[in-house]
Amino acid sequence: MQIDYEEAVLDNGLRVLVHKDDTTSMVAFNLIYDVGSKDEDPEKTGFAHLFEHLMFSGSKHVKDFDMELDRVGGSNNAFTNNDFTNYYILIPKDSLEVAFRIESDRMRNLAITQKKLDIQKGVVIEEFKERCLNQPYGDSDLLVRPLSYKRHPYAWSTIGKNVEQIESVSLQDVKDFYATYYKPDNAVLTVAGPVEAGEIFEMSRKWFGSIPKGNRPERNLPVEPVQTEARKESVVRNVPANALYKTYHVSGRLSDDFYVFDLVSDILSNGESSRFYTRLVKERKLFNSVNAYVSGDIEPGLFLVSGFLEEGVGFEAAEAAVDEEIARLAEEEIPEAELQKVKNKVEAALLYSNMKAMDKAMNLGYFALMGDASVLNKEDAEYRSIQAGDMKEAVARCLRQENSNTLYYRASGNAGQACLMEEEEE
Amino acid sequence: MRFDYDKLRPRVRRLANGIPLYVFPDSRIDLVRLEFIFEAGSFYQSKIMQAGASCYLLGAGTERYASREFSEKLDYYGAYIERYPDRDQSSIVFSCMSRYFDQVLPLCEEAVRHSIYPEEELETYLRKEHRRFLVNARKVSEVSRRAFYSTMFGLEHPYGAVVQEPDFKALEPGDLRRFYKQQYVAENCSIVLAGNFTEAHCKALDDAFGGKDWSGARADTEHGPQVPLPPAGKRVDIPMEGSLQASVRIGMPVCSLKSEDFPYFKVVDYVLGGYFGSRLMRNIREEKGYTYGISSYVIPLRFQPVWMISSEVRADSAEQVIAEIGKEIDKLKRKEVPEDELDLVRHAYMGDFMRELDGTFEIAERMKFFISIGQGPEFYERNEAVLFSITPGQIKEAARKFLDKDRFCTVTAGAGGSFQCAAGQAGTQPGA
Repeated sequence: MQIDYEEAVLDNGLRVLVHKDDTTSMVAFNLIYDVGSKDEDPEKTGFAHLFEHLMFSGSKHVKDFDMELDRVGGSNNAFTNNDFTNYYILIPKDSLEVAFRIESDRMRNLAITQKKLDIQKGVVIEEFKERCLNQPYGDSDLLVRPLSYKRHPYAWSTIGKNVEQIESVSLQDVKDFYATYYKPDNAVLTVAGPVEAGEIFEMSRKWFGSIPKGNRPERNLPVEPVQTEARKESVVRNVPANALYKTYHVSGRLSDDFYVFDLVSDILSNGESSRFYTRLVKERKLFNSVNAYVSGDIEPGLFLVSGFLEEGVGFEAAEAAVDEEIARLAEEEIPEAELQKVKNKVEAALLYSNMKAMDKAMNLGYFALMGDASVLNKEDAEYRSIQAGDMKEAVARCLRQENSNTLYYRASGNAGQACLMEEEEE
Repeated sequence: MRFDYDKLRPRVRRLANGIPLYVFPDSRIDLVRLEFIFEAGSFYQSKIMQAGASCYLLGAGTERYASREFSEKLDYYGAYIERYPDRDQSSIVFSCMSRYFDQVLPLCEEAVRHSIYPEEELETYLRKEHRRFLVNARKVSEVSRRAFYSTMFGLEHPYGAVVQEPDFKALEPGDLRRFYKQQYVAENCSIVLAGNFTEAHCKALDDAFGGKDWSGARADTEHGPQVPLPPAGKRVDIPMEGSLQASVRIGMPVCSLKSEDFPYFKVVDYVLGGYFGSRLMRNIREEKGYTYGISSYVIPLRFQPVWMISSEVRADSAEQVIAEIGKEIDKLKRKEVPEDELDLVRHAYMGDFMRELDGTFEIAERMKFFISIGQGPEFYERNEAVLFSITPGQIKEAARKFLDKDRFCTVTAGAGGSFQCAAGQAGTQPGA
């Protein structure tokens, strides 16, 4: 897999990447800002994401951002995570300049009012409830993060620690945040589709070129101290069954370890022939489902295991079975055929995740944000080069009890709000 | 902005036994997508979960391979298998890198033609489904979905039947084997092949699936169930203690997708809640902040399509939301849609449509829908023609004709307090 691109940097620091893809008539326009929830004040968490909502409130010359795009058959959306905030537009080639016009206007002149802020707080709080607070197991991330991180800002979810902090945001906070982070030298623009690099660089200069550089303070995040003792916590919730969450500290996205642990997680839980599924779900019937994955954060992140226990199975037995599988990885090398299997799966997954112009634009932007877009084209080789010995070594080094955090998420056993019966009330 | 409908027209070939093979070749990708569509949805089942389990366990134990052997082989080639049991049809999709397609094809044949449904596989399936059932019973959106269908169609209707606790004890491997033998036959099968493949692969498909040895009775796709719908206009409220949000669903049966009326109804639906900038989104989300999202859409059930508005809203605002939905509907019936909004709707619709169909696999995926409604791309061409010729007066007329509130089925789950409780009084309690 090879995704070719050209790159230029405007005088104000905006990086622009262009990937030519003639297989589509739509152009993907992706603008990524180097600010995420890890940059938030610990007393105002959820802010970066709330701000993302406000970016749709209109700007000086663009009253209604979405409508401008609807009018030309374009669409757009955005997402925020711990590391960055990503805005994306898909637009017919003939109308591409609309994307430049409206996206540059909201980088230069966002219009924010108290009323808009209040409404978006309401929307975000409903989103908070819909995703986390009013879903069975929905708050697990809110619990696992502070258990795993004691100093680093990955200790909170992007949605925020709680609803109250979102409510406390003031208009001045919003203005300050905008002035600090929404600047050309803190962003990467990627355009992919039936376009020429030259025309895109020119349009970028025309629309973004005169926006002044910013002055964001250097990122100086608290470093998470090395964990030396296993941490355990237990909560009781009104859910139908017990769940087990276990995390281990591992390295960041650009480290060799990321690729190693990604393959380790595939050995454990990718597909119906994976070790967790065949042994812990089907043979031993300890779990109803159980997964392993890597958080994939830019800064040192987590290797996570989450499993839903079968009825009547104790936490200790379930956790011991997970530990056993991990211990086997630390003691025995993975057989060659099994390793080949997960590498083949990864190769196919990489092809799928880079099929569309939008996927490619986002992925290029993401790697450019981390420092070098060309890393995207080296991912497959990175995975291919991993040996069974590397995996054994990394598991033994990181997936240790002293480096682990375990959450027992206990079912209260109370039928509570469950609603099983068909009761028709007129 | 015009869509090239020819892209949607596949080349159709026939296997020796008559199975249609729709091909969408694209040599620019190194992947293949192979889908088998069967007339084997829950509509045809005689026991709850029979269709779902039969589809979900395709390949989980075959004449040649134990379940684990099968998945090991498939995983080894980096291939993916997806099973989609649904109301009318069921389908199974295999995706893999082109260079392993030769090795994956015999596995497709095993899953599709030689599944044997071992008891322990059914047991695993039921364990998982039962868990999902219990978890869903605590999700407002799932509780309201269940209540909506069972209320609108009635529990006796194939579209209204819902899973109940005793059903998990009642399903047996024999039920699956019977259903498989009856529904998963050549007469009920269509195949869609997309991506980078060769003529030799088509020949191999013919060898594997073109025989007369898996022939059976063609499923009836013409006649709907003889179960009358319950009286229209029902309202159901399901309290869920401590819920922070309420799920609101409002809907009704709609006209056939093939009817002359449908494209007109579709425009009304789109204006009201069909896109991000729709009237409902503007009102309920952008002006009031009651929800993260609200939309309306058509569920294209073959024998009785359904139209629905759904949203998860602040628990104490369910009544206001229902009232506001009513106001927006009245407005559509009373006032003409301004020309500039209509212009916006036209472009937004075409944009959505072009995006959804941007890519060979996306286009191939659409075949299932075409087979289900018994029409091809002309369905979309007709919708587009009406969208671009319709007048504001005709939209108002269509809204009056179709949006009959007396026919609405309204369901809430998790609303603050009961239906009788005045809006806004029931407080939201901090939940679990």
